[in-house]
Amino acid sequence: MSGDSNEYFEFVEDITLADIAVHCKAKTVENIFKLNAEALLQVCLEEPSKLKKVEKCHVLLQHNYLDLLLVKFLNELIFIKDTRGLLVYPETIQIIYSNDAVICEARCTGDYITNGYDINIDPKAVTMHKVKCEKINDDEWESFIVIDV
Amino acid sequence: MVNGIAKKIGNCLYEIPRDYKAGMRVPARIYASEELLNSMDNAVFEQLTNVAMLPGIQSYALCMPDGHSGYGFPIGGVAAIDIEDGVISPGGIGFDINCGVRFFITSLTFQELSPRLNKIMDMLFARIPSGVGGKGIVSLNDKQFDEAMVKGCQWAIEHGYGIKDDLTFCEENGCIANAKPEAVSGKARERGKEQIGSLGSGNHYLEFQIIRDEDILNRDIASRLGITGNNQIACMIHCGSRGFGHQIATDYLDQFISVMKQKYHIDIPDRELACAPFHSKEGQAYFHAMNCAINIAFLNRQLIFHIVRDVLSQVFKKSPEELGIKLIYDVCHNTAKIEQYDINGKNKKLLVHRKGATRAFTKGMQGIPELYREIGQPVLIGGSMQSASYILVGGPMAKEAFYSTVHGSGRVMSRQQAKKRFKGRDLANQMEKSGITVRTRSFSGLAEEAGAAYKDIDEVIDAITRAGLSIPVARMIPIGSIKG
Repeated sequence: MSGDSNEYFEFVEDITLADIAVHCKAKTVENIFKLNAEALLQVCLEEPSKLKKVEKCHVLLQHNYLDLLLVKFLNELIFIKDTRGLLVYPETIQIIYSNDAVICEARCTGDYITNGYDINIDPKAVTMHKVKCEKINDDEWESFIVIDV
Repeated sequence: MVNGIAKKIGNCLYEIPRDYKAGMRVPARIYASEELLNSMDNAVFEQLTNVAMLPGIQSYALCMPDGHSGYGFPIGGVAAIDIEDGVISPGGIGFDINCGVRFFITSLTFQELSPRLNKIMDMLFARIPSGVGGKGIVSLNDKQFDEAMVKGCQWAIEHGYGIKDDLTFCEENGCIANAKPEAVSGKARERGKEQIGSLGSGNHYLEFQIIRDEDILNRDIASRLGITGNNQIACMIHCGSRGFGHQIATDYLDQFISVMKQKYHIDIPDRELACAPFHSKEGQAYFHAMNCAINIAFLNRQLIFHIVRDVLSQVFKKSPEELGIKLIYDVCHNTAKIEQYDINGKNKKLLVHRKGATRAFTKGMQGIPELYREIGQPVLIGGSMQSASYILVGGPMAKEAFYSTVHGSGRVMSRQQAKKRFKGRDLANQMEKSGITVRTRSFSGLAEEAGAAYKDIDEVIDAITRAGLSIPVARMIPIGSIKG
């Protein structure tokens, strides 16, 4: 998880009352993906930093648009939670541009929800509402997502 | 003008004209008192006027008094769209397809239940899965799951999780037509089949309530429903289609995004309003998959109801009949249903999208149980976990709102704000002191659901009553709450 103060995520008020909006800034697109995964984990768990690395999983996805790839990636983490009972975080992540598509390959680690964690709330999906993932300056990327809970 | 945007045009009714922004096909209408309108966040108006741009929308884009900002549609949003030349939009239904409420009464009194309430709550908390990643009451194989998608509550009755009468008192008799499992992805099946019969988290709950004499607001209708007052015990179950519905919405939103502009030349300002023509291949596939999720949500609530009935029977050592357990109704919140309306003298089939809104058919209409034909469809409105809930019936002006009304009290505070302001454990203690027994899997989740994070339910009910959308029948006070 990022220790750089220029790289952060924040939960944004006044965008949607029922759901959770996340704004994120990072130096690389890979870190944008990682920080959003961290925000998602924080929605689920009281203390996401205590998540143990018990299980591994591999995620490989593609989309024509980078912002929608971010949505797809986070929705895949929710899918893993619901089907395997696993909460995971990407240890390594690569974003590759290939012809018309953008590919995301992540190696994730995590633990089963039932292993004694203080749980918070269950995210249903990451929406496309005002979604954004773009390079705004040299070495500066920004994203915005809304999580339906 | 209120907020410089909306003009008052009737009792608890405001309108944003069609020329408010380019692309609006119809005006936007908001049902609310002036106070409730002013309490709505600005995003509601932005989202509602975006909804007014959807192809095929008829008359007006509507927002109910419990409206608050969501994604795509506001929560509390209603759009009636001509199926011949209009669209279907997953964002107008929401991820939790057929999130809804089931309400039943008993002949037990508070005095009879109270000494056993803790035991009952413990037994239910142990038997009904809830919270993050909660697995369901039943585990279905692929063939059974396909059957359940088509049959909804009927599947439960056939497999011993209920009685035939339960079907009578559900919207669509607990089984909507046009559910086609072939339209459901493998991912949705995988995600859904282990969660059937689980409460979930967020604002989902199971709540025991009392109905006091002084809270009966329409004695005639109440008595026809079997509501007697006298500290009568009732119970409300609020949940939806769980991960199954969420995945169907996720799958089809992504599909719709890829075809909306390129194939169907539809331009909408918010991608969360992604849509496709109703009669298109994509539109029909989503409609069929969404109906599967509607049925799975009906089944979900039926299974939970069955467990509650069983636990009450065990504790009181009496049959459900002896306990006077009577299902009043099961209503949907997040759906799109085909209904017939007269629009400017022309009979049209409209796809009525209701996102965080309840159908409210009035007396005499088809589509409601025969027993309720003379009083109108029961409308079940859950308040916050610290406030009252209501039962109403469809009102005299409901047609103006495509027979729609509110679904709850509606948030006024974001989840993050609520979590900063309240501590879950303190809140639970406070609720216990005020006479509400609480069981929860997550105290921080409980803090997000604090009563103060919601609008005043009495004001919301007053607004729909004054607007003529619904007629209040009784008010219920919470005494026991299981939160996901």
